[in-house]
Amino acid sequence: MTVLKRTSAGVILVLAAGGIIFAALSSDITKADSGAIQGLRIFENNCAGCHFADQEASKRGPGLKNLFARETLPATGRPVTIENVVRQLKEPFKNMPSFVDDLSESEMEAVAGYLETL
Amino acid sequence: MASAIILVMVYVAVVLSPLALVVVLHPPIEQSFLYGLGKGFALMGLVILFLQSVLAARLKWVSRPYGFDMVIRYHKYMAGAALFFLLLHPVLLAAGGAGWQLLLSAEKPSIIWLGRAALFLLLLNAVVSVYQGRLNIKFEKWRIMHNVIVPVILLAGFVHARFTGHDLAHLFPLRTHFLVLLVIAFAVFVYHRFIRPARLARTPHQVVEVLPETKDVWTVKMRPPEGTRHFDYLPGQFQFITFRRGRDLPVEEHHWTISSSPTQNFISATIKVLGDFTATIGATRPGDEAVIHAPFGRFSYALHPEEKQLVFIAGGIGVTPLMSMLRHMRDSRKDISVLFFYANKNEADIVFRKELDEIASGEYPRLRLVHVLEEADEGWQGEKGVIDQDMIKRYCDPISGLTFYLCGPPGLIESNFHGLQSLGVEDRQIRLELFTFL
Repeated sequence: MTVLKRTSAGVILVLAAGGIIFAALSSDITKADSGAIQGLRIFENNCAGCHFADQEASKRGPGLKNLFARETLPATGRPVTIENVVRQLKEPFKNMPSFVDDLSESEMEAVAGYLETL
Repeated sequence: MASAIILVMVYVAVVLSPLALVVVLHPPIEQSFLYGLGKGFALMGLVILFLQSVLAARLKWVSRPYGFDMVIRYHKYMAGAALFFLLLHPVLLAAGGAGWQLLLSAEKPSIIWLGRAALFLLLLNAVVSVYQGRLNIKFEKWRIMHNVIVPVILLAGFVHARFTGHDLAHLFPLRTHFLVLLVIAFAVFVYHRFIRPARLARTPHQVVEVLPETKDVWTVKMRPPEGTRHFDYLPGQFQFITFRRGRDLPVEEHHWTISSSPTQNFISATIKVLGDFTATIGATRPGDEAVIHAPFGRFSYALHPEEKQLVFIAGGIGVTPLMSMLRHMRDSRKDISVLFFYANKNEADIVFRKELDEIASGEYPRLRLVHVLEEADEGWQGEKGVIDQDMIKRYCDPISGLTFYLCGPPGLIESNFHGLQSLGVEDRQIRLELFTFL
C-alpha cells in the first residue's frame, strides 16, 4: 500500500514536472511578456467555436486559414485588411455577433494580427 | 518486478507523449509560461482519462505485476491527478493571459461551454465516487452511472480540445495521436463491458452445493463447464462472479475471494450477507449458473516460496483468502509455520472453525490458531478484545523474519498495519488484501 502511494505520488510529480518543462519549451516568453493579450488566446477563447484556424472549410462560420491571402472577407466581401476584420468584430453581420462588449480595440487588433499569420 | 517498473514508465511516457509531440513539431509560440502550463496540464489530464479505461478493464497484462486491487487504487489516484490537472487548466489559462472572464463569463462560445460541462461532470463523478457510501448509492448504481458519464466526459473533452486548442488544430500528428488514444480507450471499454462478458457467459460454471457456514455466511461451490478443468489460480486470489439463478433473483457482478484451493476439484466463494444482493445468496441452488471472470490479485503465499514463517491476521469474512492458502498448504504438504490471529465479534461468527481446528491438529502446515472475540462468553479460553500491537508482540517474539498477511475490515487492516510498522516490521513483509474498490 505504501509502495502504491509512493509510486502514485512519484508519477504525479513527474507528470507535473513534465508540464512545467513543456510550458517552458513551448512558450516564447519574451514576446508573451510584452503585456498584450495575444490574438491566438483570444481566438481560442472567443472564435474557435465557430471558425477553423487550420482549414478553409466552414464550421459554423467560414474557415480562416489563409484569410489574408484572399482578396475579400468571406461574408461581407470587404477587402481583407486589419481594419475590416476589426470592423467586422464590432458590427454584427448575419450570424456573427458583435464583440464590442467582450473585446477592447487592441484585443480586436490582436485577433486580426493572429488571423494574418494563418 | 521489472515488468512492474516498465509498465509505470510506459504509462508516464504515454501521458507525456502529446507534450513531447508539441515541443518537437511546433516552434515556441507567443504565450506566457502560465498559459503554456495550462495547455500542458489539459493535454496530460485528457490522456490520463483515456488511460483510465485501460487500468479498469481487468486486463491480465496490466494487473498481473501488481494485483488488480492495487491497479484499481492506482486508477483512483490517477483520477484525482487528472481532476487536479484539468481544474487547473482554465485557471492557468485565465491567469496566463486569457483573462478571468474565461472562467466567469456566460457569453462564451459553445465549445468553451462544452469544456466547462466536461469539467463539471468530471468533478461530479469524482465527488459521487468518493462519497458513494455516505450518499447511500449502491455499488451497482454507481457503476452504471460511472459507465455512462465517463464516455461522455472523454468525448466532450476531446471535442473541446480539438476545436479550441491551438496545438490540436495545427498539428495533424497530435490530432491523430489523440484520436488513436480515444479509440483505444473506447475499444477497451467496449471489450471490458460487452464483448468479454458475452464470451464468458457462453461457458458458465454450475453451482453444485450451497453450504451455510454461520448464520450469515454461505459457501457456494461451483464446477467448471462439462468436460473442462477449473481455471488456474493461486490460493488467495479473487474472482468476479455473476450468478444467473432465475426466480427473479438479481443478476449482478460482484467480486469475492476464491475460498477453495487449486488442489480441490471445485471453485468456491464464501459469502457474507452484507447488502441487498448478498442477502439473496442463501437462495442460490445447485444447478444455477455462475459466470466467472478470474483469477485476480497477488495476495498469495505461493508467490513467495522462500518465506516459511507466516502470520495471518484476519477479521470476520477476511478469513477467506487465508483459508484458501491454508487448504493449499495442507493439500500440498507445505512445511510452513503459520500463526493465525482470527478476530470475530462472538463465537458463533467464526467461519470455518471446524476445518481450521482440523488443520491445526494436522501435520501440514504447522498452524497455531489465536481466536480473538470482541464479545466472549464466560469460560472462553481464547483472547478477548481486538487484535492490536500488544497482542501481536506477545505472540511474535522475536518478530524479525516473519511475514504478515492482513485481510478484513479496513479498520483492522489499517490499525494493525501501523502497529506492525511501530514494531519495526518492514513494509515489504506486510501484505494486505484491500477488498473494497471505492
